[in-house]
Amino acid sequence: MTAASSSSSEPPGADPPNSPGDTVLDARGLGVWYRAGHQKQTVRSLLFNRKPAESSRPKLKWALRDVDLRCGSGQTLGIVGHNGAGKSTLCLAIAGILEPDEGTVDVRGRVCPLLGLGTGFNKDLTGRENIRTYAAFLGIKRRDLDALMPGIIEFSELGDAIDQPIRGYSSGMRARLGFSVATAVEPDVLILDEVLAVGDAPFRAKCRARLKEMMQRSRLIVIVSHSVAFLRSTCTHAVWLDQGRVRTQGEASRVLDDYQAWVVSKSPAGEAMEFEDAEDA
Amino acid sequence: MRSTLTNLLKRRDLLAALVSAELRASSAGMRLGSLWWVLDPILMMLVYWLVLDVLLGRGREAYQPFPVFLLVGLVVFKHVASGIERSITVLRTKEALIKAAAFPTMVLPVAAVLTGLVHFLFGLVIVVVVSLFWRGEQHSGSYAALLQLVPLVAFQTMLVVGLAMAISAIGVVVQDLRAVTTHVMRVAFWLSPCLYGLDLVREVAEARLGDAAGPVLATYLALNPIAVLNTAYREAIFYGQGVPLWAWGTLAAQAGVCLLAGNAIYQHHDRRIIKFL
Repeated sequence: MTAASSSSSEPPGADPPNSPGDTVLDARGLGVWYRAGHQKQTVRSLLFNRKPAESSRPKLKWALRDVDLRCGSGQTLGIVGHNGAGKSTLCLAIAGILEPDEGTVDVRGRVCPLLGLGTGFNKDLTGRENIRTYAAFLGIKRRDLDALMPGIIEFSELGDAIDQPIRGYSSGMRARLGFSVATAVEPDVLILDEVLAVGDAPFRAKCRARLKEMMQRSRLIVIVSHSVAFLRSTCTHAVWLDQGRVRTQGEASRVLDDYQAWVVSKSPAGEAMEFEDAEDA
Repeated sequence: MRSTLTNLLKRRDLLAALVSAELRASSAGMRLGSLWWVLDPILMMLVYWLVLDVLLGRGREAYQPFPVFLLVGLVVFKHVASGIERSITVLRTKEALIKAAAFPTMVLPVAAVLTGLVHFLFGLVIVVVVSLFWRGEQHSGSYAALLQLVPLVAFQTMLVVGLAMAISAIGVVVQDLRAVTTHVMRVAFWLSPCLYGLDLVREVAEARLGDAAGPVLATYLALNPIAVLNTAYREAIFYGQGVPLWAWGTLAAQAGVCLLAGNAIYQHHDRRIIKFL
């Protein structure tokens, strides 16, 4: 990863060990805005009030601005920052779910975003039928899914319940099903946004093991977590976002030290982060 | 338009999975399955037949057997109306998925229309079978006219897909679109010749407004795509006649314009949709 818009200079040791040809993620001048406090239009306002007064116009809020990131193959990138800093928006932009309003994001390879696992399941359909639909959303081809299906069902540990409507599933069972489908295919870029708390303790351990395997095989892993301890144990590089801008980026230990020091200086509660168990991330 | 088609073709697996899932979900736990979809127009047909024909004696000779005449119009209207109604909320109901996976969101309204199309085809088969067994004196006796159903269904699908794309995108931005659409569709139902024919409109207009105004009013009514569709389907199924050229031309133009405009409106809102959800 190289710094372009970072407020701190990049130490030589933080340069990725990859040649430029190994670049997997290349974001330049990335900007994404939302309308702050916007109200949806009504048919009446659409027909009769096409130009609202200046004062009532929604203001643009930049969720991300001037973000430059370049990540090479073999890196694990942690994203830290306070709530509303733009972490999830950055994940959505990298995953191709959200188009940038400014700049570009170029991701090379298959991206697997583990965001909101199992969302959008149809309660009237069985687990097996939902696997087919969810896999199609994730871009898994039908012929590939036929081969993957037994493994997905086995990993989910749902047994005979797989052919029951998921209306009767617990939230943990649905999350397990979602995780099993989403991680069934080996991605080039894996994006994790606070998704490691899935199911009960044994299943969480199983998830962590699978993610560890995927991390070893993926070319790039992007992790969003509030657990500095977990990021410190997992990431090679990190980026600290503050109000949508890159505050600093580079080698994980240095960025996380800076971030942690800032958090501790701002809030006594931040001290607790030092003692977080990476396993609970 | 080209990029839309490319996107849809690329994600045809997703499109097929969505249609299949919607069909399964809609018939889950229902013994009658798709028959539920045609029960509504059949029940409405019975009500209108009882009120208009039996009680008020308003069923014209040219519209006999009146129940079949009604059924054609009601089934066609239901397909268009349900396509529009489903498209208003289709993006909001899939909000979580839109924010969790990268896919062209336009497959959602298109899949909703295709799901409705499967139900409509089921209903159309029932209408055709009923019309074969209960044929009026006005029927030409030729069943070759039924071949026209293929291009008619194609034009109707283009029309509804275009409307669905536009309405689904606008439905995300405009919060009370559903309430307004309910009223618009109610008016459209009575203005569309579901319960009568365009010929009756022309006759009444000529009688009340003069010879010049009748054809003009009928022409304006033909701007309503559902009126054209109803006329065309009745010619093919109820009368066993060739669909008039003016109807083909109008329908082709309306379907083309709807599809292009719907696509343009969707493309305009596409990147903003996720921000409004």
